Order: sequence, then C-alpha cells, then structure tokens
Amino acid sequence: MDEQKLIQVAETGNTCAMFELARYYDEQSRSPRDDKVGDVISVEDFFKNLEAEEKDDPELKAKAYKYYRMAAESGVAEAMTEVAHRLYDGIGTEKNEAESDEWYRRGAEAGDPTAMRVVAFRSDNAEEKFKYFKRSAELLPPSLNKKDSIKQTAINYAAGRGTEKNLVRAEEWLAKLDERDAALTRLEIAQITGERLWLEQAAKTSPEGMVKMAESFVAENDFKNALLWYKKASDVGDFEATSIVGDIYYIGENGVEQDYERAYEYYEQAAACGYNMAAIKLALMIYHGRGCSKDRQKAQGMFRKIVRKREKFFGVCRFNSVAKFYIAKMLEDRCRGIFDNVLMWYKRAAGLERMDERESTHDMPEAMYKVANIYFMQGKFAEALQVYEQIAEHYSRFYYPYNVEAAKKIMWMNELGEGVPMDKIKAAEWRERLPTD
Amino acid sequence: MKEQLIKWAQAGDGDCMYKLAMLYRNEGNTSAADDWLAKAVATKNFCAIREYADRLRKKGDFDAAVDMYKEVIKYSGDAEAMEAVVDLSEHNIENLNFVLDAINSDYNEIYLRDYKIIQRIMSLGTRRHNECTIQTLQAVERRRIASRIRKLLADN
Repeated sequence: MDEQKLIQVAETGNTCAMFELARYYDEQSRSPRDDKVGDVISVEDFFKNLEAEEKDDPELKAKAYKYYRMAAESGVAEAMTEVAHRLYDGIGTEKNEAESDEWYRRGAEAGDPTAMRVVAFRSDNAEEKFKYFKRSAELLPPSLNKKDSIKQTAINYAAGRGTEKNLVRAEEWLAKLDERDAALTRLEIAQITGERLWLEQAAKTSPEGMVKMAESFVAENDFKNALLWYKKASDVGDFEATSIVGDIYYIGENGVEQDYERAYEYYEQAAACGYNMAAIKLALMIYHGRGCSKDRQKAQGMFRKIVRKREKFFGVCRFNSVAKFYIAKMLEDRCRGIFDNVLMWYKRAAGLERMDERESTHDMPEAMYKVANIYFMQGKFAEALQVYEQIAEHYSRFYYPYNVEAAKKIMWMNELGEGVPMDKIKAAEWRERLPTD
Repeated sequence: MKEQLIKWAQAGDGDCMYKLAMLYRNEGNTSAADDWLAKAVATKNFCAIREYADRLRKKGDFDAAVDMYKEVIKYSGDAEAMEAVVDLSEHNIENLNFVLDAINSDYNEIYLRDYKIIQRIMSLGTRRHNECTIQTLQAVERRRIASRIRKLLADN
C-alpha cells in the first residue's frame, strides 16, 4: 500500500481513503503479538501481551485516531464506532467518556451494529434498549458476538421489556441460539420474570438449568427433590453437583437420610473429576474416619496432592489453604513441638508464604494465630507482634476469638516490654479495645 | 523461654499461662500444667478454654466439659465444640437447643449460587460461599450437626 498516496487522497475528503488509512495505522500500531477476538491464549501470554500493548506506538495510534475521526465526521458509521472506542479507552487521544457516548449514539443512528449493541447495553430506556438489541442482532455478523444481542432480544420479548410481551417471538429468537445458550437465556428469563416454566424448560437440556431447579427445591427446604435434580446434573457431568449430592448425604438434610458411605462415593467421584472442593471433603472424611476407616496418613497424602495440584480452570488451586492448614495440623500433632516444617505449612495456610505467586489466600485466622504463637515461642517477638497485629486489625466474625486473643497479646507485650520496647500508653490503648465481657 | 513465660504468666498474661501449661504438660509435670491451665481459663483465654474442655471430657467430668464447650461456642462457631456438646448431651434438650440456636444464628448456606445470595454474603464481609474456605467446611459441619440435633430432639 502506498501510504503517501492514500494520505493525499484522504486529504481531499475521500472517506474510503480516510478509513483505509486509519485501519492501516491502527494495524501498524499494534504489537505483532496481539490476538484476534476469540483466540484462546494462556494466562502467561495474556500478561505478556498486556506488557507488549504498553509498548505500542502512540504516534501511530494518534494517526489512526485522526483518520478515523475524519471519516467519522464525514459520516462513516463504522468510523464513528472506532472513534467512540478510542475516546472511551483513551487510545490515540484523550479519554473522554461523554464524547465517546455521543459517538456511539451517532454510530448507532448511522446504522453501525456494534455501536447499536453498546448503546443498547448502556441505555436506561427500555424501548431504546430493545430497538438496538434487535437491530444489532439482525445486522451483526456471527463473528462479532451476535449472540449477546439475540439473547437480549429474546429476553425482552419474553419479559415484555421495551416491547409487548410475545412468547412466540421470544421462542423464535431463542431458536437462533445453540442449545446451551438457549438454556442459559431461559434461565435468565426465569430469573427476571419469576416464571417457573422457563426454569423447567432450561432444566430439560442444560446442567445449569438442572442445578437451578435443584436450588429452587433447596430454597423450599425440599431436599428429596433437590437431590434428584442435583443427581441429574451430576449424571451429565456437572462435578460441582456431584459434590453437592455428597454434601446432602453427608449432612442428612431434610427428608434425606444421612449416609456417609454414599457421601464418600459422591465426593470421590467429584474429586476424580478434578474438583478440589470435593477432594478436600473426601480427605476430611478420611481424616475423621467417616464413611471409611480413619487413616491420617492417607488423608495427609491427599492434602499434599491437593496442594500440589493446579486446577483445571483457575491455574492455581483456590482451595489449598485448607489443605495446607491440615498438613500443618497433622505435622504439629505428630511432632508435639515447634518445628520449622510446621511453621512453614501454617505460614502457607495463612498466606504469609506463597508457593506460587498467583495463589489466592483465604481468611485463615487460626493459621495466622498459630504462626504468631510459634514465632512467640521461638522468641521472635518482632515477627510475632507483626502477625498478632495483622490478626487484631483484621476484624471479621470468623476472626473474633483470635482477634481478641491477638489484641490481648499485643497489650501484654507492650505492657511488659519484653521483646518490644515497653509502651504503657500503647498497652492501655489495646486494653481499651478488648471486649468488656 | 520458660522463665519468660513464668514471668508473663505471673503478671497476668492468659496466653502465657496457657503456653506455660502446655510446656509443663510436655515436661510431664501435670499438676503444674493443670494449675496454670485453670488460671488461663479464668482469664477467658480462648485456647485454654478449648483445651480445658477436652481435658474435662477425657477425665469423664462431662457436665463441666459441656459448660466449657458452651463457652467456646459462645466465642466462635467451632463445629468440633458443638459436636462435643451434642455427643455429651444426647438427652439434654436444653443443651441441644443451645447448640441449635448457635448454629441458627450463623450463616450456613452452602447450596444456593444465586447472585443475590453472593451479594448477601459479600455484605457480611465474608467470601463467596462456593469457595472452599475453612468457614465453608464449618458451615457444612454445622448443618450436619443441626440435622443430628433435630433428629435427637424428635426422638426425645
């Protein structure tokens, strides 16, 4: 492409040239690592791309904006939407949400389906929402996530939002979606309208529908029927539902007899599918000897496996704080003393030491308290104080007893001045914070 | 460390009394251990109360153990303490109701994944229920114990 020639033509007011030139600069300004919509990339690549994006050429982005803007002002609908995107994100120009809104609206009015969809999502006016969802559903090519607009159009017809309620039309639009999306949309309609019929239809084909159906029975305290629907969802591969079946048997909910053996079986099934929540519950059953013989060694092996495991969907196991806590607890029970290994596992459980930088941590007051106590008994008072302070400051009802104990400990450390400089004023402040009873 | 613990325990630090009790127990000095544990309990040290309840249970002093476990339950939703009370008072309706009330005063939902429920939990300053935290597991345990209590109350 001859850039100079295109510039000359664009400067004469040729809208096609303006748009072409804008796209050319736009593409040139992007890092070669940029992915196309719909590409599946790893988390590592995603972050690398983010870094690469920061290195994108701002000059080229500004040029792209300039020519999109020229084309938009000359009436090119697609360019109006591009201008709106850029104003919204501040790419090649200053961020300006109000102006961005205006350009989306102009793009929608000029007939660009992408702009219509944005306006529809943002609008507070039900009629306008319906109008633009429907128009964009008709105009958008399938590659541009048309199904969102189809879904919303079906929902609006079913709920009578922005248009007359029309179930036939709603079904016509639902028929344009694949089976799963249609089922999920029916669920959304059920939630909006409160009409059970939609839920029942969704439950016929999708595991999500089956689970929602089960939940509707849970809400009525009817666990016999809830169990039935959770089992159906489990049969079609919803391992979360399998684990819940285990819960119902484990607890022995209303109308369902407690049955540890069956709970064990279902937890085992869900754990075999890679569901760590079930794996933890299974390990705990083995730990306590419920539904099986008590086997602490086997339980510890399972907890260690859970900690090592990377979850299929979240990269790092979200549930492993509990597993780490139990590893520490078992080590502590066995060694009956203070060992570095126990401290290490409690620190890991408390999120004070990460095995993987992307690990998320959970409220584990007991683990934090254990860490502080071990530091204290090792004579590492400064470290202990730091953790006690974290526990004392982090108030939640789960922290309550540890919260109070930590506050007492800080009060005494300051009062007696052992390990930390004596500070009677600070001690008094902490004493004031203690509950009166 | 022991000298320091003694000094702090004598000054009134309940946690150090408890730690000292544990230290004496490991050394085999049970009378000193029991003595310091009782003192720690008097300061309302949570861990001491928990430990004392277990000791009383092992010794067969069930009524006193139940009283201690009830103290623990008052402080926290500790499922093990609740189970202990139920184990020790299968025919004591008052104690069973005490535990049931404690369970009912907590948030024990584990099934519903509704957006509004998640919002409700967030507003309580806790995490989403379907993440497996120790609290979720405790909620499962509390539900199981509640089921057991309801059955016992019906039998009684």
